Amino acid sequence: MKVSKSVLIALCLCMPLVSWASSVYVHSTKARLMAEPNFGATTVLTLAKGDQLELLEAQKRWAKVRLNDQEGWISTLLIKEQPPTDVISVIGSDAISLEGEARLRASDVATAGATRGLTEGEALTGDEVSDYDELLELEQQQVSDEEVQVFSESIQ
Amino acid sequence: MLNPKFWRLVALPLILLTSCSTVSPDSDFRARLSDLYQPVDSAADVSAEIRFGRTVAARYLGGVDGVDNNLMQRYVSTLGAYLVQYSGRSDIDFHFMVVDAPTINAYAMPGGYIFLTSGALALMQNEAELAGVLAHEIAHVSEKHIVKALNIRGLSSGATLSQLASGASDAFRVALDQATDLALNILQEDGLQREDEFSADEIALFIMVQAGYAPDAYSDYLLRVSQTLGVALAQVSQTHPSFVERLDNLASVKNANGLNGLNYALLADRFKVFNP
Repeated sequence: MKVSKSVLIALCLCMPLVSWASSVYVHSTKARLMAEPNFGATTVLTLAKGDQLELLEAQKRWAKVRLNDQEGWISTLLIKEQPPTDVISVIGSDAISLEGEARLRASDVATAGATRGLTEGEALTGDEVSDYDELLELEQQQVSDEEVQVFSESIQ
Repeated sequence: MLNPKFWRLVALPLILLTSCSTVSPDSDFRARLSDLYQPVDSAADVSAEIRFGRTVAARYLGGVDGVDNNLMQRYVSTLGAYLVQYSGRSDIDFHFMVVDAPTINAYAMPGGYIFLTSGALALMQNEAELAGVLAHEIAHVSEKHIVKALNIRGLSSGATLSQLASGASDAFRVALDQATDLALNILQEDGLQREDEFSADEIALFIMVQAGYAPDAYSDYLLRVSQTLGVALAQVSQTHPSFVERLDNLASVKNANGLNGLNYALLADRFKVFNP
């Protein structure tokens, strides 16, 4: 019984190691799983962002993976060893999470600039040749997922 | 002699643990794997990248205007957003703009700010060619070529460009100005490393074909640019390897990854609606 407990402890210690060593995650919104490591092969299924895959084999641009009982090849450009994070943005007034304890708010930018009588652009660059108005216009041109979906229907 | 309790509670689990470790891939395998895909950066690094990219983009826009055609801009932005889905870079918002410039070029700023000149757009014949060029620039961002060239990091990583926005000492403002100048110089004058351009070309093909576009269209466009004589060609050549080298590299990539003869989309008609 005591030996069994030791075995149990050892197995518990081993499990995270084995799991860490063989899992990768899809980071693209969509990813094609191919039957062979080339795009001329049959598409086995379409993977989604965040899917956890068991890594079986890796080449330069292709990795052989398994999801549930289906195996295939995926571009290594679309997978990483850690799960995907949410979109990070520094635009607007929401708080920005920085690693560790540091946190920074966009309002701090305005405050710091305002104390010196500077606009955001001037505060950040100290020049008069940047065009932050046009940059903001560009950043406001967000394309919705629905628009992208309608757009893509003509392609495939 | 060791206590039997030691064997039960410490030694045996350790022995079993050692044997279990052989189940996982060997260390060489792991080392090779780590070279294959980008690690996930900390939120601080990504924030620093975006802040730096905004600064570079704003400076670039200080010298050039966007093309005054909302429908065309929307079309390019939507195509860009679609392609980004296949880039593996889902932690940032990308932004696309066609700028009014006769030169033939496109620029990828850190943080996902991508600019295409009207001169480059004028040489295109279909949507797949536009997809190829945008995918090339997306690849520069997803591979963080400028970020790596200038070692842009967040608070946790030593260099602290993100501190610039939190109170901005004069020293950091100077550092940001210098880094911005360096980035624009790389983008517009010196160019990135040749390997980075080849890598971006290769990744562009992968993005295109995943998205459903004919990969040959990208080669067709580069060939057309190379055959275009004049000042514009000279300017784009300054920032990229020769077209002969790039086309040779693309041919190798296509052969190695089953990308030849794929009957995928060109969409010339839709392209012409937005680019008459």
